[in-house]
Amino acid sequence: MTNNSNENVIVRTITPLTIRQIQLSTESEGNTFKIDNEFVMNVSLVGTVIKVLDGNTYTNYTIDDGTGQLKIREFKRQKQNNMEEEEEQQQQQQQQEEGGEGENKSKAKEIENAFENKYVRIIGNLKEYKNQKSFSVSKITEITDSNQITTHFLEAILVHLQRIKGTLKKEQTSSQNSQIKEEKNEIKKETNNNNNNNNNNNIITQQNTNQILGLALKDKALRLISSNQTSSGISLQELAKELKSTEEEIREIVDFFLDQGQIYITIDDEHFRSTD
Amino acid sequence: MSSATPRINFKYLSQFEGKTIRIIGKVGEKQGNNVILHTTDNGQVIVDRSKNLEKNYQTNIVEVLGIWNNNQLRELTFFNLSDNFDFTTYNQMIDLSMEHKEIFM
Repeated sequence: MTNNSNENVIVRTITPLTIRQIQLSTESEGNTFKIDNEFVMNVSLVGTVIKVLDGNTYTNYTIDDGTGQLKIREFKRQKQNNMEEEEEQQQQQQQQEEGGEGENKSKAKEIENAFENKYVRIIGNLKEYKNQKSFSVSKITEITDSNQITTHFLEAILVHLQRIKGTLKKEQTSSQNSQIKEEKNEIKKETNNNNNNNNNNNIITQQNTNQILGLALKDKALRLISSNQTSSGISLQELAKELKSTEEEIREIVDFFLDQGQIYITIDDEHFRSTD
Repeated sequence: MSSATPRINFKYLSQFEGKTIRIIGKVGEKQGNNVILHTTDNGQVIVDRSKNLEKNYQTNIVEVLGIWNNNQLRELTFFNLSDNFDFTTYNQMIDLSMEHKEIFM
């Protein structure tokens, strides 16, 4: 990602947003906006269509998602890979709106709303054009499973929190961190539940717990070995007994430390001393 | 610029007297121009449909957008939702949106 102010920054992620977030965004570099301190280009919204204006080269929708309203445009020609083409269309459309000397002076007409009384999902591109925000639609589809409304707003909250407060860390050093972790865990839980993925979260929690327990055991083992001052060191069996663990588990742990060079074998390969 | 129509449920209604809000619930009994809406958090709201009578609810669960005044929701418009809509998760989402109002209203 380059940060020259005249070049377009390319961002490849889709950010779920609320219209309020778009309204409040003022920071931009080049043509690209920043929301919550991160560049956004491709954006997803969930809302309802209030108004449809039909123009020559585009359709203008007014969207309301409960947090605010936004005018978005969908260009009628499908081939939009050519940036110049798109800019030309934008210019034509700006002229139309200003009632300028474009070829067609007829303004866009309001037409019947095909999405009336329905919720839609919109994927589009947020850009700056002549100091104004412009949102061009890549895809607009009707939502048939209304739970997607809930999920979208949960995701928007999650991404918002992650971007302003940082992602989840294993080590919690302050109570504030653990509060945020709890909040984010709750949001993640609900998003997962909502996606009918109840198993996901349980598996992740279990893996995390196992990792933490494993670390604790290794730590204790190393300490026991280090504290043994005899020349023959401590035996595998003793370790297993002290740590209330199986010999197989202890074997794995000592192999790890042997590889690391933190311990060495003494009279046979079942006796260890620390290198410290 | 702020033209928010916040999503709330029954327990937050008192905070939005006179405001335009959105509330989701199961369609209940019809009483003349009114309909009872059973909200996602088990509340009951009287919806005054007189300004929007020509359009009928087409699903069992709807979101009503209207003005909350004097214990009645005066409907401006509504949206049809799918039957599998999960009330519990939705309520939790509302609670979270109230904790993070900065991106919602």
